[in-house]
Amino acid sequence: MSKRKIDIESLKKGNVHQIPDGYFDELPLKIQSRIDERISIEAIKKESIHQVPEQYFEELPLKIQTKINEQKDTAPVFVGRMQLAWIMTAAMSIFIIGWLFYPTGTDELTPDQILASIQSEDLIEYLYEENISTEDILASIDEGFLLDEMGALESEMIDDELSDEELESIYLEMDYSTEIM
Amino acid sequence: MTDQELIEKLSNEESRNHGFNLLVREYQERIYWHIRKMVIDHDDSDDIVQDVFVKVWKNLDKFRKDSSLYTWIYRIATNECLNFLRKKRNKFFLPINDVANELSDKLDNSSHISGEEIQMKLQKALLKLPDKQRLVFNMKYFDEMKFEEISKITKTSVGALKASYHLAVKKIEQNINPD
Repeated sequence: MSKRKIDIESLKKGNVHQIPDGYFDELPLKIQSRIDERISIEAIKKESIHQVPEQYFEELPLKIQTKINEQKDTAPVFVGRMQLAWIMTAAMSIFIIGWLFYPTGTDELTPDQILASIQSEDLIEYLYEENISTEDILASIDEGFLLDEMGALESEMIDDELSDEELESIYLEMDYSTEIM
Repeated sequence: MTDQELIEKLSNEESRNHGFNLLVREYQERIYWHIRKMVIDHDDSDDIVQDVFVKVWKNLDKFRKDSSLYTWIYRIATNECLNFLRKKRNKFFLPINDVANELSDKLDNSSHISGEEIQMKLQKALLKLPDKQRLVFNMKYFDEMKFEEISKITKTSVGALKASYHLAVKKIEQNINPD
């Protein structure tokens, strides 16, 4: 028995699917309400939701100043280029004074030993009080010796005094580009 | 007070302390809010903002006067925020999502948070972004900075910033409109 061939063109094209009554009347409204529901970030208020304790910003400058003062008192003082120059000139002046006027003898302390026992802060203070100009001191010191001493002092500061964090802050400008993006 | 006037005060040893005090008062709020939006918690922000200004003080002699004081401080603050978040992750070997969840919990539980539900949703969606993308979004969307300004702070091209911001907006909108 041969199957009867169905010609697709001869079929009725009516839709077998059904929809609820009034569906298309309501659809535009539904779409609009979905669009309205969708939140664009531009529509969100930009005010900060975060709050700070009362008087926080009035007190913050004092907290920062206190922190800076605490670090000055306890941590090694960060030595800038200008301060380094002052320390160097102070150290040199003490060394020269000691070398010129200190009596020599086997039991006596050498100028180097005396110098080593003096705090940098005391040297700076001494220099301020004596009002000795940097030029005067530099003029009396052999340049090669000064550079050697500067190098030694710088390496000592880097080795012994500056923490990783301080070094990081010094190079902040340089390494920042690797941090971002 | 202009940046130039501040720089002049900071350059002079006699007026440096006064100049620094003025600088803190001038920039503290903007820098605090920049940090707060990144680290969420007030106490963490308080620590970081203090560290930022201590670093500013210590590095004043390294400030290049040809750039803007605000840009320079903003960069230090940005770096501190990113370092803080990275350390947090490294300390506890946390993946990005765990830190985001922790910050999200802080949003839920902090007594220093207010705002509408949708603003909270936005904040939580933001926390799902990578730190640097969140940073760019905050500066553009909340601080309304120009891409050129952000570019100076982040040392990133304007094109890359625009792409980053566009992606961030897309991700956030997907997040707050889930279906």
